[in-house]
Amino acid sequence: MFALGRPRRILIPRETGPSKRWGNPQPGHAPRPVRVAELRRETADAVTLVLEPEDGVMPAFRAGQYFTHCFEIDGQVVRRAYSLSVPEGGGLACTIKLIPGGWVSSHVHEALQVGSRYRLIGPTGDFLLDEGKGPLRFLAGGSGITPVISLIETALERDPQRDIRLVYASRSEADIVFDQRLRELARRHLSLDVVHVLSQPQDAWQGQRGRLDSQRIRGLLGADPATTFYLCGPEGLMQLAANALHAAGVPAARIRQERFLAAPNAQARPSEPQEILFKQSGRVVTQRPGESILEAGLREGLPLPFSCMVGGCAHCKLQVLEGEVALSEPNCLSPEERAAGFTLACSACATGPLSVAA
Amino acid sequence: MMLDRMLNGLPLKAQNQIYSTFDNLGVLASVGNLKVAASMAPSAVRGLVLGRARHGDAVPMVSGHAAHFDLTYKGDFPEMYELYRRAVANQWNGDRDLDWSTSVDPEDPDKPVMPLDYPPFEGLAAKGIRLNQKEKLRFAADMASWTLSQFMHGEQGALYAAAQVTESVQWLDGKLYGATQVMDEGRHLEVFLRYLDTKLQKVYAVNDNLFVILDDLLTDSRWDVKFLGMQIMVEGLALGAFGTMYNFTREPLLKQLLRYVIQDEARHVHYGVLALKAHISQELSEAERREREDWAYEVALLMRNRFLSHELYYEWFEHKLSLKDWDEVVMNAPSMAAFRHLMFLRLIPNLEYIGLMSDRIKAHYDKSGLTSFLGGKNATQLSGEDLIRDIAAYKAPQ
Ligand SMILES: Cc1cc2nc3c(=O)[nH]c(=O)nc-3n(C[C@H](O)[C@H](O)[C@H](O)COP(=O)(O)OP(=O)(O)OC[C@H]3O[C@@H](n4cnc5c(N)ncnc54)[C@H](O)[C@@H]3O)c2cc1C
Ligand code: FES
Ligand SMILES: [Fe+2]
Ligand SMILES: [Fe+2]
Repeated sequence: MFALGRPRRILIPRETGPSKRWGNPQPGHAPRPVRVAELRRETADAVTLVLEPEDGVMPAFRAGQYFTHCFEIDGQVVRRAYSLSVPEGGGLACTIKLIPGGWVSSHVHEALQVGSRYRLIGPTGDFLLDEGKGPLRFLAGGSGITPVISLIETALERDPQRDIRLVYASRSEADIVFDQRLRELARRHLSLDVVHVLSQPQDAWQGQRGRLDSQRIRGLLGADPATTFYLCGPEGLMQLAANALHAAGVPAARIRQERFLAAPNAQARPSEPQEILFKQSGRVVTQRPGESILEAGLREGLPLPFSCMVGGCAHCKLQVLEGEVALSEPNCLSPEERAAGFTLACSACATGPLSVAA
Repeated sequence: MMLDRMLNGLPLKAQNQIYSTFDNLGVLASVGNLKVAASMAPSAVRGLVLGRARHGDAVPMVSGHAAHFDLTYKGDFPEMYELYRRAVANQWNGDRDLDWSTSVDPEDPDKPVMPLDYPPFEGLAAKGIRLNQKEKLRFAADMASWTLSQFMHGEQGALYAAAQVTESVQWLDGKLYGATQVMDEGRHLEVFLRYLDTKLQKVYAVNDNLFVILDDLLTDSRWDVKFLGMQIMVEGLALGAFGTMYNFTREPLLKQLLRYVIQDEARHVHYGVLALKAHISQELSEAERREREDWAYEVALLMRNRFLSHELYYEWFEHKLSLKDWDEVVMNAPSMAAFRHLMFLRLIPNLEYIGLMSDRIKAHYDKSGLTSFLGGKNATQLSGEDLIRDIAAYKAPQ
């Protein structure tokens, strides 16, 4: 009856290896928890969030990229993309402009505090620095300055004499985000030229004023074929600038744009499970009520690519072979892609039996 | 000592048999209080003598506690409801919120799960056992598996204890809160199991002494003893152990996992402290209070002295070192000192706060060198964040 004679069990046998219940985890699937370390007011309606990763591991990112920020507001997870407003290796921060009535931006301005925690997905984005030596021309409008300042600071860190011009459109003096930071940069780097254009300046304003039209844009940015152009701001301004540059003969590959698309409308999703056939992997997956195609696939361990999860990067693009999907708008799909039957797995769900090419 | 003389000259195996029999009896003998010893005896017999945790696939544990069914929903304990609210808001998801695609190599010297300054290599060397670099890495990895396996077994116990306590607690707010703790403990069990199963791929059986404590709690019919044992003692033990591992490990997935778990445990202790302070001051006679006080003291000492990783000894050193020498090495290891420090740092102020630290028992704690922790912050004064900060700030004495 004494245990002494019994062979001692030390290890628990695991003949069959890891259990099947865990599935196949995908890299980058897990949002990274962060903590707000500092809140810095930049202007009356822009605030910078300085973030600290909770696991102490600073994620690597490239200048001009963005993270998808997942907030929990009123019990719902809400995702929004925000560009990084710091140079590569300069910590983790983004700058968020208050949009009247905006769900997330008002949450950030009103409820977030030092110590608040939430999660990030990413980084992602291909609004990246041209690694050559050629001149750089930036056109930013309003909060579009965020990835731009990251790119400019990083470029100057690598080459303090790089030829750079920033044309920055704001409403008034008080609305210029990073005013002080830009002055300081221009003081230290003679090769950086910052031109502010204000639509509603005070009378004493000595700089450029009024609306930007094609001609002024061309005049301010030039059309030199060795230059790389970066555009980030309100949709109308970007369209105008892209057209002006095209018309002046700048090749499309030299024009880089970042669209701050509004987040997709949360649309009703089917309340019944739907079957999705992933043709390439030969798997049939049941999409649960409320899930996107991407979420259903990842849950079942399919190696589906994705990045931003908010319809902004097209990494999750896939072709619909048969069946109907509901796709949230707006998103980054071009009219050509739509015509060819592509959808975004992160922002779409099957509304009936579906088969996709992935 | 007589035991030493008896063992001298005998073959190792015989030495160990005698030592561990005396040692097991010693568990009860070291419980200086007869009443406490008697209440623990059945579990000690089942765990240490019969070795019930060492064979079969499961052990039935029968408890005589009663579910307290509320008929009028009158009780009101707003502070407890606030904890419930916080617990609901802070639920995390073990599948979604941890990056399980992280590849973990427990023997990777750059991101060790258990760095080489954790195992007691110096103590072993002093006893003539020298491991080469490769063996050290492998031993450290085994020690990680052993430690995390015990965490997992402890979480399984916590899951059932939380469920039992939720049945028997008399406050409605406590029942609501308890439901979240059941979920928390289930998730802790899930993530430790998943980490062991998919990352370390080596799982150790439950340690006999841990089994005794869990068995004792799960089969005791007095709800407040269950409660005290689980919410204050075992949770305190867990905070010490998780905190030590959190400080030592450099493997990012485990670090994040432990951070989440520690924050939940902080809430669990907070609940225990709230409930027991009310119960002990309002419901117990002085004699009953004293009995709880003694019980807590004995369990505190058991927890301090009894987690000596015998499974690792049997796996690695059974033929090279006596069990007694092993115990000595482990007791004196710096990582053990860190564990004891973090455990008592939280435990002692909590016992003080709930009223189980009269001058009479203080004298005993003082003899065991534990009174330096008196007057520290108790669970009602600490958030999960504070706790992590305190843990990270503690550096083990070298
Ligand atoms: C790649 C990328 C990077 C981004 N980087 C930044 C950044 O660095 N800083 C920043 O402040 N924002 C940035 N955004 C925009 C941001 O993701 C949100 O769309 C924005 O904060 C509004 O969210 P909300 O929840 O406050 O508004 P919602 O509740 O989503 O929208 C409220 C109303 O405002 C409208 N609306 C939304 N966005 C805009 C807009 N930009 N202009 C005009 N009307 C709008 C909506 O159509 C809706 O009618 C970026 C977007 C993308 C895709
Ligand atoms: S993941 Fe970026 S668009 Fe779907
Ligand atoms: Fe737990
Ligand atoms: Fe717990």
